[in-house]
Amino acid sequence: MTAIEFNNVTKSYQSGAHSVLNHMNFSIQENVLTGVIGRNGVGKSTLMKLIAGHIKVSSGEVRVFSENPFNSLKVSANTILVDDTMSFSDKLTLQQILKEADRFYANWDARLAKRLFDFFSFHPFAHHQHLSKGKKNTFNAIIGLAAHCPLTIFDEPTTGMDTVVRKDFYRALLKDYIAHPRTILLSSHHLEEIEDLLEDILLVRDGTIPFHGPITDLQDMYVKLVGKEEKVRAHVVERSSFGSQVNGSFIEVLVKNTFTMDEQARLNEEGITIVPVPANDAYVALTSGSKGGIDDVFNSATTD
Amino acid sequence: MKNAAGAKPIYIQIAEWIETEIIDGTLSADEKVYSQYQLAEQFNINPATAGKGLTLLLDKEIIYKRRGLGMFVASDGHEKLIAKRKEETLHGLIKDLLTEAKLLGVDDNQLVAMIEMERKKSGEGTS
Amino acid sequence: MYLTVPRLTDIVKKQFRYKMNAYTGIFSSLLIMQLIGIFFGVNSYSSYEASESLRITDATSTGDTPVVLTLVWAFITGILVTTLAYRNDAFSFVSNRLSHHLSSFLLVLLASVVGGITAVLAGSIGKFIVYAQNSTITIESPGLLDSPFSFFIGIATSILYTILFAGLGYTIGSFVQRSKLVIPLIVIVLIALPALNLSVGGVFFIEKTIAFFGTETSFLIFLMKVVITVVVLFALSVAVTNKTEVRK
Repeated sequence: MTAIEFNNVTKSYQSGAHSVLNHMNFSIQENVLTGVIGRNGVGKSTLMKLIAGHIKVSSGEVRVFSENPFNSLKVSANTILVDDTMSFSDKLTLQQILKEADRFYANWDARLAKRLFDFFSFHPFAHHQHLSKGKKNTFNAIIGLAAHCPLTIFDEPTTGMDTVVRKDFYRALLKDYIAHPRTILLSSHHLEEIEDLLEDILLVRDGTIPFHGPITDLQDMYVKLVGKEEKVRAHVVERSSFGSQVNGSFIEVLVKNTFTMDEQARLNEEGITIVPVPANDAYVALTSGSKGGIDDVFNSATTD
Repeated sequence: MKNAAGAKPIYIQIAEWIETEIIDGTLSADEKVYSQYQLAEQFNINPATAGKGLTLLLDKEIIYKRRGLGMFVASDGHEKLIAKRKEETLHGLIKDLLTEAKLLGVDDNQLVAMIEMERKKSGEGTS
Repeated sequence: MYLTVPRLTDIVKKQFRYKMNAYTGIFSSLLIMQLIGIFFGVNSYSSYEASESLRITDATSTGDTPVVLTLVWAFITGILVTTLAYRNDAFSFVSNRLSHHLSSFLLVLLASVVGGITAVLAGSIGKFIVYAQNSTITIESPGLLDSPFSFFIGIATSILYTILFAGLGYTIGSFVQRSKLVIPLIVIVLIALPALNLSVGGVFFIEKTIAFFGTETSFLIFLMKVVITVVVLFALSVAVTNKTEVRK
């Protein structure tokens, strides 16, 4: 079943201004854990707020559980968006906030909430606005997990958390997802941190979706050629390279994976190895376009 | 430089890990294989990715599926894997060995002698 | 995972309860306002010498000061619950714009009832203080013991006025949330136009409005006037903010 659908969605915050999302089309299936990946400021948060029904489209149509999420009580009751705009009255203690959350969410897992609360050493009588940024996000993440909402959205949930807490949070997320499969969106600009958790990737760039599909497919789109510099260069001229690194007389070049069996065999004979790349390299290649890497900035400066 | 294995898609690594379990006898014929959820939990990966690793083994008929019960090691799974590893891994290694030997000017006799020596060192008469 | 099918009334109830717990500040500010009201209410002394041997001290407490301050409090509270911070709090849990409005309005309504009742009681406390200090008292307004019916009508009227002011604040707050340009507009309407009006000498809208409620002698008609006005104000508030984006 389809959980989320975007049909030709455009969003700009002021009429006539540059649009944050541009004629976006995609759909996300139920119970898939999808990573919403993109660099800062490409529209990840806007996309998530549209799904949660917090903001409205400029044109096009968003469907969540086959309803327009904006002003839909059904979508709100079945969705939780965890981000840094989550706020709670300063009159409530953390313990009271959890109690309120319990009332609002039908599937609330009070036991899990309590255990995570203790594990991350929160004080029951502390107040939300006095927490540090990392602690605040950890607390919000606990609500997001324990709510067990059929659609759970985490927008950069680990901002400000230290490394240990980040790892613990991702582990908790995975374990809870395995125990209670549900549709989860998780955004981050650090793909390498979350790639193993994800089934699908929704790549956002300049308000468009250059890639949406299984993370393994993204990985398969690119390979690295490793070999003697002159031999590799000879093969790369007719392909665009997405970054290269020289180690002595050897060179690694990131290229699109479009080699036929014959070509692969020929490369092998010439002593060039085709190496699979981590998803993060593929992501960087796909989002950096053909501008090349940071090295190229300096290379062209010296050759000019 | 990252080594080639490290960048291997995780589901292939999962499949290879189960293969090794079957080859070294940890998993024997008709024994139940870990579910995708157990694998996901153990390796801290998405269950769908773990499932892809299992599908890879299903396609190669190294494991089989029993409806509602899970995946089990095929009765000839062990043999298939041995044959496959001989074909793929061992041949690959030999090819590399020969290329390196050629580069260094080591002839076939010297090579065999070197292999014998290594075998004695590790204290095994036969493989 | 199965989907929950929420009912609006349930969510409104939950939001109302949440807001009751979260915004206790509304009630503590009411208490402070009324204490100030009592304090200033009894401080109207006048004393003169009737003869060389007799000094008369005239201490009065009209009981109006707490009521006026309660109306100010109601107006501000009405505005307050429509602000961004309150909205983001509501949308951190399950809500849509209508449920947010309904629950906020219920909160304001409840606060107004409490405010309206306590305003009259605070007035009575003021009178009691004057009595205790001077040991003689003349009651010119109905008290609970001599005319309970009038006393309760007094309380009901106080409640209705409080609701009216809270509703006005709520509506103005909602308009401001829609567009900040409303603020100068309100300033013009409230200050500039009446001032202008005086020099022209005609009857202005605001005076008419005050007369519309203030000169009503039948309680039932007054009640209807207030209820209809508040319902219209609320509907306007919902209409202008039903497309508001939250947690931006």
